[in-house]
Amino acid sequence: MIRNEKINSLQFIFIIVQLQVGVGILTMPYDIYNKAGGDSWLSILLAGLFIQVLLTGFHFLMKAYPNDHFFTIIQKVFGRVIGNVLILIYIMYFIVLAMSLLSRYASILSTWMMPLTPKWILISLMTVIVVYGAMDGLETIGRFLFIASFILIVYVGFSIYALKFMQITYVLPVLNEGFSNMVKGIFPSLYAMQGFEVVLFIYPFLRQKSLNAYSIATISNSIVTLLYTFIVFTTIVFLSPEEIILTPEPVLYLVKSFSFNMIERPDLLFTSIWIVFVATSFVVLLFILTEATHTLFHKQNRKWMTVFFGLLIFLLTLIPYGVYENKNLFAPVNKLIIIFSIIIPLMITGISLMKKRKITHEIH
Amino acid sequence: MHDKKLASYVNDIKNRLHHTADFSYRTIKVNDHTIAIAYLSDLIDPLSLQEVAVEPLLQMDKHEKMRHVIKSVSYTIIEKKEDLIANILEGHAILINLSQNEVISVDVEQVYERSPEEPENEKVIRGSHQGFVEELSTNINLIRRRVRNEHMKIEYVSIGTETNTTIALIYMDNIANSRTVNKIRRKLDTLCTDMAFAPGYIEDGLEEHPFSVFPQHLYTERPDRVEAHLLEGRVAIMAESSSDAIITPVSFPAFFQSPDDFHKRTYTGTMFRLLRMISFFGTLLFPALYIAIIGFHFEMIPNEMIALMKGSIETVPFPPFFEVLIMILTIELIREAGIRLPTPIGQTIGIVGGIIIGESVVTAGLVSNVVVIVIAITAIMSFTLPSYEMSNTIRLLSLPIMIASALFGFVGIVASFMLLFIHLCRLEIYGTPYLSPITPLDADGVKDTFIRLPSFFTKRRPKHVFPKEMERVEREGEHK
Amino acid sequence: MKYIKWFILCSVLFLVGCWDERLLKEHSLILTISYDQNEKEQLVETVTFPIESEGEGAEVSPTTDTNTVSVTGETVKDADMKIEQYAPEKFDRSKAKVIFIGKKLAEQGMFSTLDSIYRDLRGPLNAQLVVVDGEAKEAQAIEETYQILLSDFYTQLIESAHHVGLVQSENVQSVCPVILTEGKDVALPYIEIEDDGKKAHLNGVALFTNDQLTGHLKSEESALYLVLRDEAPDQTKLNMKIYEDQDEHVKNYVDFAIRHSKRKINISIDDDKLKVDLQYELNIQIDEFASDHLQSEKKANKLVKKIEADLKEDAEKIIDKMLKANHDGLGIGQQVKAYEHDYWKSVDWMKEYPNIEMNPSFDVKIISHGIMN
Repeated sequence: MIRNEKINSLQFIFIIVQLQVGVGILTMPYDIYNKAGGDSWLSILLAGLFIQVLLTGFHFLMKAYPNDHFFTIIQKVFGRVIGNVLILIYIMYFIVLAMSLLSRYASILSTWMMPLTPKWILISLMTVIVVYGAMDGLETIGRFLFIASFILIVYVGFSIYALKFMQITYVLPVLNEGFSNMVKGIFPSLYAMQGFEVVLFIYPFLRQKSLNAYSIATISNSIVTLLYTFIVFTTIVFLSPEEIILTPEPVLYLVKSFSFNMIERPDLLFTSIWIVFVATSFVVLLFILTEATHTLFHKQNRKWMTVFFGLLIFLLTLIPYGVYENKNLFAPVNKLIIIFSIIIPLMITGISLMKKRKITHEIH
Repeated sequence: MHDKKLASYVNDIKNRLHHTADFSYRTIKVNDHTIAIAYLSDLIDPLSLQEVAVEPLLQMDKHEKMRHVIKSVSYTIIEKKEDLIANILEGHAILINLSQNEVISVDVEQVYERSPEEPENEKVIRGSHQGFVEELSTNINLIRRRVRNEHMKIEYVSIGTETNTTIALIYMDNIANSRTVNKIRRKLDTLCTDMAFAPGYIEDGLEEHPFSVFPQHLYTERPDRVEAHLLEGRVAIMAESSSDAIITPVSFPAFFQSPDDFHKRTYTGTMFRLLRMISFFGTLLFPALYIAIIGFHFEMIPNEMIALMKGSIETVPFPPFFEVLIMILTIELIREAGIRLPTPIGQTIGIVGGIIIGESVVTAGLVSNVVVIVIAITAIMSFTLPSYEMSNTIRLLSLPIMIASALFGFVGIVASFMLLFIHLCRLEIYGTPYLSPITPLDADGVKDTFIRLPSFFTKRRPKHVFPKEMERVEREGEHK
Repeated sequence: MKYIKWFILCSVLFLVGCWDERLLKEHSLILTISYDQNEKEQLVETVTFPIESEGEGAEVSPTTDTNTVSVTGETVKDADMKIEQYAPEKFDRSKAKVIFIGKKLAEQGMFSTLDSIYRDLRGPLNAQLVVVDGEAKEAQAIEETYQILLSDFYTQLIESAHHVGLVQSENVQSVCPVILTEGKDVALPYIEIEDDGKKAHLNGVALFTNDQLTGHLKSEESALYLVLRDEAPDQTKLNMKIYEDQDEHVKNYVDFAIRHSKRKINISIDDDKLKVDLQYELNIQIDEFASDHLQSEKKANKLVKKIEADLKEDAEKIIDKMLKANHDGLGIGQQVKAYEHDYWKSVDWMKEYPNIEMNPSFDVKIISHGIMN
């Protein structure tokens, strides 16, 4: 069932981290702040905790099917027909995710750096890179994502520098917006952390079984949660509450206001480096898509399938731009994550565990 | 009767050699036997033929066999005519005694060889100053003298349907991964070419990604370098009449190492390696950065510099991309011309090109003086790489990156670097990922890549070569 | 074939052009901008840009002369468009280093004027903000710039004043969160023009309430003001008159530098009246003290007591001015919000602030008196 591709645990960690980071890293403080105010960083922590609980649920699923990924599990649990329909729905979900990623990438890049470059050029640039990266399968992706992760250090470095100018009173008193607002902030946090479910798709490719997928997923979840908490925290203590509400990409705005002797405008570097995160997220999405069709048809040419999906997503992303250029067009997509990354996987976990129990009962 | 037979025998050889003018033979009569000596006169050493064969044969007893009298350890008994021709072509003299039905060949080849001097393009300050020569056996001798080990194995393969060049495959039998060796052997066997005048000529056939811009084999003319790589489980390929050895499978960091590093202290060694790494990125980045900053993001320029820079490019008629391109072309032309011309003239060209052109092109206002600085630094950086192949590659690569940056500014640079790294991640050489040990990360391997830790830290061989034996020195107690 | 296709694609892209290209040589760099308001409440924008140097090729020497263009417009962008009509190259303000705000405009509120900069992806967020006494464009017309560019003159003037603790160096970005935040206000460097417009003189700080100019502190007070804000750099120099009756005039004074300062704010609410205790711990170094003999502990203690009392007196004067100007430069509002959140919610801070009671107190320690006693 599973091809002979293997990744090591470091690559495993960074595949998850990179998929999650994506576009979210720039806009997340704004989205969460609108709900949770000064307590946004607490919301992120809570969301991380919630994801950890989910991962624990996934752990049982992964233990029950150590050699299958999510799509083959779907087939096994629901049977051929329903399973394939469900996989098709998942394919559509991931295509929509990729479209939302691409369109947000284009609009942010357009507003921050290249207002005159046509968006289709920006989108095609990204698509070409990503298709090239995803063509060779998981090993290449793993290697590339590991290297790309060094860029996270740049982001953390800038955030640490921003702490020099922090105004701690902006987050005080803790919980001043009330507990309920903080809980409301969990939802945008979850959207920003979208992508943790990828653990279900790649765990059978893990080489070392010494550290199991669950503990590695735990590590990556902690990395992302801490990173996000840190970035949200620095953004809030650097920009004033009223200013965050005015800036949809507060992280970029924060960097834009720095100036060093050698580099006058670090935000230009920062924004252009950020496209690496878009590419890494997109590359993993493309991989999952080809994995889905692989499960459906059993035999396929990965190269051409990647090119096909790349083109498809590229074209589909262009269509809405022809009608109205709206970067919030895909905003509702975020809500799908609750169904596809939380409810359905948990449901399948439940069903498969029940099935297993039945079988063991019958044996006894 | 024998004489007649002999004459036709010799004639047959002549025919097979297409009556080449340098074929000669003579006959000597000893004790009623007529012995013919046939050879290619330009390929043999007459004195040694005299000493090894002619003199002893003249004193031969009647019943003695030729093979017992000649004064040479390397003789072969010829059974087939095909072998006979091959031997003649290898510089052997053929001794034919039909009355005793004995045909043997004696190695009396005249070899004109260079002494193992230090290779011009791989000079070091400390360490051995020996280099390979054009004689395969001398080269193997140089390696054998360094690795006195029964596990060092040499395989000869003959490549080239017309030239029949001997290719040597050298590896440590107890360390090198047998799958890698088999793969290389299979590649060599299936190689279809009429000639193979150097390992570089067959390199394309050995590569798994012949269309990649990156060099996938490490060239060296230094026995000490070959030695070091053999002991890490790699395979060296050498050819007759060529002083290059190619080493495979190598990964990216190997192109940044110089044998000199191992004679330096840890800190200085590390510093120089990091310097080369910076040079690598600098060469790729600087011209593109200049284009992006002048053409797209001039708000990046520090306040103190902006007035100066604006003043210097005010008269330049070209867009920044062409400005840089002109300078890069000039530098490449000077470099190329410098190689072709004899050394004294080459130096003059360097001075004329570098100083005069650089100076006047700026005063004429064709390019800005900032470009001259940028390109000059870039060129120097690219030449710091110990691998000639890698240095050429990155200078070529800087062009597409420049184009990308002329189109999209910083975004173009980042995008092209992404493509570059994805490409590097995809490359594999006989199963060794090109970017190893960085990704996939191998902590033991990193100790001797961009940093150089003391040798007692690197007790294990790099994992990405898949050596049979991981430990360099077997520890006591662990021995079974 | 594959590669040829790519090559063609690339060259096509290349021919299509580079959409966002902005060539440096096609832009005139605006280095200083000033905004004023005229009688009709229109915006007067004045920009300066360096005159192109005449040097050929390699012999480029940086120019120190500037051109000035002044236009009147309804909004900032409208004025920008009008400026475009005056020079051959396109103007680019992304490298502007100083932005002058005229007193009149500042009194009206400057945030709306800065709006276009915050909105612009290439806006000069790092430009120094300076308030000019009178019309802002006068500051760009001064003659004495010490042979450097006008913009360099002002940035260096403010930087060096900032290092000795006279003013704060605020740029367009750094004022933004402060202006927007309730419970903290900005103070900008204040420039006066002297000698019939020939010379510029940095004279203290302009006090703001949100984005409106409401007060002014002279240079003598601004250093202590920064100490009160807890933003004084570690080399802030203060001069203080401690005696009235010494035989030599110079002996009435002491000069010291603050080497380290620490602030503590205690907020207490008494009968809905806010009381703020400001405690400062200062480590000082005596720079000039003509009376000498600091080796005696008694004498030193006496001096310390005197300094503490005088600082308190001066600080109270400054606080008085701040309260009058409704300028919450110390960020008391933020402290109240963070630690007395219920009270904060119950009052309108803008109205409440002038009525609060602030008591500064100083704890001075001489840690060095130079190489002499």
